[in-house]
Amino acid sequence: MTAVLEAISIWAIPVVVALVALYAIIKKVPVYTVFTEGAKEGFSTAVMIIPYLTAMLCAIGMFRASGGMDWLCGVLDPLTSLIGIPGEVLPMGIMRSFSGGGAEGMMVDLMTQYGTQSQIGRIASVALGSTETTFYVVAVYFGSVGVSNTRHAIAAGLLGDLASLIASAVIVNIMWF
Amino acid sequence: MRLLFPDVPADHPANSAMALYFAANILGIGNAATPFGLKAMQELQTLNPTKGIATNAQCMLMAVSTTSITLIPVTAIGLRAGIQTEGAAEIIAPVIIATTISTITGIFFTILFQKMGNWKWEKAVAKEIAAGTLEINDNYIGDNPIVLPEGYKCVNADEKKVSW
Repeated sequence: MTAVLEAISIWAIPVVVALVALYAIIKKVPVYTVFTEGAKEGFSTAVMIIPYLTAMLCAIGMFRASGGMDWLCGVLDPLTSLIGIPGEVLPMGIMRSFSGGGAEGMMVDLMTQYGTQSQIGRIASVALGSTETTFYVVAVYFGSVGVSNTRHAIAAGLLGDLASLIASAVIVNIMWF
Repeated sequence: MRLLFPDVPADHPANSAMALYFAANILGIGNAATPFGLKAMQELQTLNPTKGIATNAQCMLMAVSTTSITLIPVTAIGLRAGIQTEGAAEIIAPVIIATTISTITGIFFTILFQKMGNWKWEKAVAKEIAAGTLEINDNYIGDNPIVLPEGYKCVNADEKKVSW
């Protein structure tokens, strides 16, 4: 089963690229021209996103480096243990909304320490896989169109992340423990 | 689509862009679906009377994409397999359930929040007009553009461009 999934992950991107190119050839679209035009557009989108992304990543970095993250976890720990979320998963759960790479690193730490099939390992994995990095996604998508007043988008996204963390803990606890 | 995005007319290209984006996400090509999402965002921007305020449809798109609707969490499984191959993929079912719950929560709160207090569209527009920072979107193709009060001057338009 894992082998099949790993094979899918390895082959997915090359296959999709090849299928798109093949489809274009069949439909008689000038593949190379269209591809380079799209690449040019992609480049200007990337440049457009830079200021928003820089601001976001800077703020998140400062939050982490100043110890704000540890403080937040300390404050929330008593509450979350009531729901059945082990305290060790909490930093990763909160980090998930701020930085995907950071959350992945923390998850690997947790799993090497506690094992992939322990309660902590499973909750961490499910929490990682069931949501995206809210701040990053908001910065990229709204930044690409130049919208700076995001209204309730971030609040709703964070509540969704919270729901996924609680749901992961509850589901893992029901399924295996 | 009509349920989630009531402000988007049925024949607008944004509908197909968003459908493509959701399909790409469900099939699990995650990060590779970003260009589709950006295209959908730009299509929705043509329905936005302002330049800098997010519309309800854009916020809803954000809610669905940031809570993610992937069937197979490829990154999580990959990381698990890196440590121990046994039981790496057992989390697929819990992830599907958890991500559905989180997406429903996100949608619910988006619908709730878009009518609340300072997040209401009319209030956001009024606030920006009062502060003088509202910019009209030149690419707007809908039927109710923003009516600016008499003598409104946008503070951003007065900035002198620095020439090097």
